[in-house]
Amino acid sequence: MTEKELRKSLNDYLPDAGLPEKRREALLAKIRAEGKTAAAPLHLKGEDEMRKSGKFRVTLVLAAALLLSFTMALAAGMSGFVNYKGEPVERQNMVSATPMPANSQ
Amino acid sequence: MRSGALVPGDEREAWFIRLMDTYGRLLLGLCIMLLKDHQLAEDAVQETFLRAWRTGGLREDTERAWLVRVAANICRDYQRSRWFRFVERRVTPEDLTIPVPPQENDVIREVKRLPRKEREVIVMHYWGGMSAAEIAESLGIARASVYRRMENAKKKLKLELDEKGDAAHD
Repeated sequence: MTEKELRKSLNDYLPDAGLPEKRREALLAKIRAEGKTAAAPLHLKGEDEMRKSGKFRVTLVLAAALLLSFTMALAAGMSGFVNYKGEPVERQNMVSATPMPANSQ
Repeated sequence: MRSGALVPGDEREAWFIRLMDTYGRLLLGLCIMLLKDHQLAEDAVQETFLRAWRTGGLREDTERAWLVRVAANICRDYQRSRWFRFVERRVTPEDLTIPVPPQENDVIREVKRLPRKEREVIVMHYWGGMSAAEIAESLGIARASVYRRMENAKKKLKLELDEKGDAAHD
């Protein structure tokens, strides 16, 4: 078998043209339909609706509150603990709320 | 390989028709040889073009490689699907109401019997006229792998067809 024979066999067996006309028409109809759908600015519509319903503002406030509480927790963690008067307490001076049993030593 | 230059909206349909006209034959032949089924091959080509449309545009220098790669991947997906594996595929052309595909000769039969990886390289080169570099780019493999697959396929074809030739002479 030569390369020429292989090429000729493939050329004889496989179709000379691409998709049949019906398939092409169906495909064109589909892309036209998709083109119309894609033209609608869906993401903008969604954002507008969110703004109108007030969800946007609520989400913004919640996000800000979350960020603030996280920052405060981080600052407290870095600066150490405080007692009920607001005075800083060293970690080793903190007393356990439950007294140690007498026979534990 | 990425889909780069976007085609403007009003030119997209013309661009799409050009894609179908230019690459329809190549893709259909490739899919027929990979799937061994004309109707499924047409489905695969349709899906390939639809995916191309959804990219919004392809760079002209890489569009052929992109389309061939996507078509080969779609054919692979079809072959992996449960439906493909369990459907009875030994129906004779006389049983079908659809147009009868052309008769296969020994060469085509042997090409169809090759492993998929070797078959796609053979079809891309001898049917699609693609160079080893283009095939490598399309399949995302090294050029050396393309040469190796092509050589293996040719050896197998030669062996099988020579054996058949000898048997016919005897």
